[in-house]
Amino acid sequence: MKRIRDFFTSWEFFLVVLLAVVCAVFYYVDAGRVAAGISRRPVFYFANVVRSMRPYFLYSFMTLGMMLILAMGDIDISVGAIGTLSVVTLGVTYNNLAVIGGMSGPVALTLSLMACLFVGCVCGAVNGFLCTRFKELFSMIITLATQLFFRGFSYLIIGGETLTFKDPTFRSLSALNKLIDVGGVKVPVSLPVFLVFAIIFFVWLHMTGNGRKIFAIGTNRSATYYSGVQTDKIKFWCFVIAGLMSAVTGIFFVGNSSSSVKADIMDGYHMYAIAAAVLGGFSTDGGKGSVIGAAISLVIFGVVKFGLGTLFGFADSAVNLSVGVILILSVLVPNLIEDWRNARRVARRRAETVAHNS
Amino acid sequence: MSEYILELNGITKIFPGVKALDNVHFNLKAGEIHALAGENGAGKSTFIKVITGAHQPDGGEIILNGEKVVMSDPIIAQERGIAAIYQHAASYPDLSVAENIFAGHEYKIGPFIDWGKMNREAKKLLEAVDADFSPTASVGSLSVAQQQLVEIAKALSMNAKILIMDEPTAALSQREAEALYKIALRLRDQGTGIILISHRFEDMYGLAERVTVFRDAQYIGTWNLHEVEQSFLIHQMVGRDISQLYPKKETETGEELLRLENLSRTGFFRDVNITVKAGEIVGLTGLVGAGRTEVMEAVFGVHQPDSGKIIFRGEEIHAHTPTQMMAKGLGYLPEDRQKDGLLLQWSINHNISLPVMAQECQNGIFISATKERQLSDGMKDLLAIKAPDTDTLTGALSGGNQQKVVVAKQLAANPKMIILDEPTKGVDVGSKAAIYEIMSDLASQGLGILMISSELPEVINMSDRIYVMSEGKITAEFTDTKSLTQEIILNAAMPKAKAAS
Repeated sequence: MKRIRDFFTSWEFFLVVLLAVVCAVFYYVDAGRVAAGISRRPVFYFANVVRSMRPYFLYSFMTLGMMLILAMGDIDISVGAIGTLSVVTLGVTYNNLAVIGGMSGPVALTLSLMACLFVGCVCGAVNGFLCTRFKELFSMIITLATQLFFRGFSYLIIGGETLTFKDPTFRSLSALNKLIDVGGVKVPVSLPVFLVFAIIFFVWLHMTGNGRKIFAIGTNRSATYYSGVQTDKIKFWCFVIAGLMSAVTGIFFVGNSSSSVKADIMDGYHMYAIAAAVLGGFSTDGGKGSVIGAAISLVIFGVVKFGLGTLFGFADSAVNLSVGVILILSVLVPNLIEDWRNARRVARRRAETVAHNS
Repeated sequence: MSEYILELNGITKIFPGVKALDNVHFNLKAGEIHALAGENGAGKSTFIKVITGAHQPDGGEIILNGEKVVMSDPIIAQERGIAAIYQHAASYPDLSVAENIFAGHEYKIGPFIDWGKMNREAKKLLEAVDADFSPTASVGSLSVAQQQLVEIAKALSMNAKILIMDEPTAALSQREAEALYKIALRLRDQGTGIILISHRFEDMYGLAERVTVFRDAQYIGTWNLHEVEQSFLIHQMVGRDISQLYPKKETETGEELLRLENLSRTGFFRDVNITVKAGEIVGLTGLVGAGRTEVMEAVFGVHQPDSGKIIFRGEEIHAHTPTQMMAKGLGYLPEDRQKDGLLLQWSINHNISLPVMAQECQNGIFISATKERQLSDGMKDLLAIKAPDTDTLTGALSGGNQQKVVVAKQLAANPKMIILDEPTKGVDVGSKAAIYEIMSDLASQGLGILMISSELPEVINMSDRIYVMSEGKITAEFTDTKSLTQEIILNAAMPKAKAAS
């Protein structure tokens, strides 16, 4: 009984309802447009929505990394810059090995991809080292600084240039941009890859002792430390993983737009990652959140952007506005509910006391 | 108009899950010092917060100068002449003395602060409290005693008619405390009503005319101090005979578990030698700030000592961490239970399993809910933790039961020795006795226990051996605790230079 109630009052359930409501609204608007003759055929149907989600699943890998950081009560706003530096590394390494060095394409690409992932980890390690070594500094300030540093480093490497890739082997990365057929529905390659990662993260965060400790750090770092948990070690590795996920995002980014890479790409990606994680139930205070919630949130954002963009013809900036509204509501509503519950509890006790005293 | 400047009748305060004040009364005359006594957790602090407007009572009335008032805000209480000074005074350590005194009611010329006038007025107020420091000094650079003078000057600057002193002498030396008393008496003679909270009976008897006792959030009574004995007051505060409080069993001591040889950490402690044997309860006492917690944190690996040896169970320990020390069989109960001991938003179950996750509660890398539940249910029964079940959040428990959960966390790891830092701080009387009983049981099962405590009665009655620290050094060791008195220990705990002068 309690389990059933817990399920229906859970945040994930609320997100599913929100998603259903959003879909229903868009579906009827779409049908209305067809009926009124504004558009010739419906655009808001499953296969089309899934296909169009491609760009939004770029953020998804970063969101997974961001979840770890938020669960510990920290924040990492350098993830976009890490992605950029990883991608720049990927491109520059490949150009030097294959185009200038004459190494065979596939070998060079493999090495470049490894370098890309490695740089992501190194950047994460820099964040992790600074955040565990200088505990009196907020991770927001540290990663703000490292964000500027990583992006600046990208400029240092390629300047204001645009890296272009005409090499056919390198362009094979655009396979990551393809749609593949899963049970009759064409989905972007990033979707099944994301699902695999999401399952790994779900098991890690919610089913292993190590994951429990990550939430413990975000709930009360000091008490967790006194419980004999190696808080610094865990925090360091979480930042490394967040860096790695940024590099993964970077690889998919190249797949999406393999023709050009500049030092200012992926700017602001950290905001989308934070937004999806926060809507998914993670809090900057740390200690809570669920992988499933974050995954549903990614879908919600994707659907909202698609719907507003194609059905209502909103520009991207206006779509961002709606994402902002959803985010603020998602933070406010649970707080209001909690306040209301507390007030009710106090009122109940007060009533008991009055009854007892009289 | 009645003879009282302040009356509180039938005050009730409820927090989610706990009744902090239950229908309590209090009154204060002008030119009177009225002591408020009770065990930790009796509701004194909450009561003070009701008077100063920090908490709104859920029932009862406050009558100030014959007029019923609602203290909806600390600022209103201040404007009506109520001021409070606390054990740890400094409000803004980075600001100057004058800025602290006039914080919130600065002298201004237009929108700008009138520094000249503010410093001049601050100087006058400082003279009134016998302070010998400049109004432009930074408050953070002052001693605790000097900071308290700043707080009193601040109270005077607001023409406080009612002054609340909450454990003002707890962090002071004897001489500093006496200076503070002199000022309190002078203010009283000038017509200020003073509410004094102190755990020291000598303070109460030396200063106050009347005493009101709270116990477990209830009003017990008000007496003229010269008419009641100290033992009578203790009985009122504790609610039963005090001898039952300490169920210390005689135990045989076994092998040596911990030996500290000339352990030093610059600026905190030096040349500390301590031993703890199996089956022994060793008390480590001294004034606040004597370095007791720092020594034990060095043993547990929170900080590294600069020199000296730590030998734990026959093995010399170097460059260690809490994780390693727990694995070697040492448990540590931190002083600040809410900050360092528990994850208050987590259940009893998850708190107990956290330190032993990998060892006791996992199948491979996966959490086993069954094993976790077995462990915490067992601990709940063993330590008689009062809660409906182990899914109860620790934040909803009473202080005593929270402390039991912290003890359970240590015991889950099967330690050979545990360090308890102020184990009964903020714990109500009933739970105190329960915690002493647990300590006694553990010692008789062969655990070594080191208890850091400022409460001398518990140190004297629970310890087999007592070390006293003062200014970072061990100043005395007592092996015969039967004939010991609080005075002997206090004498050893007093800083020598100041005591001599």
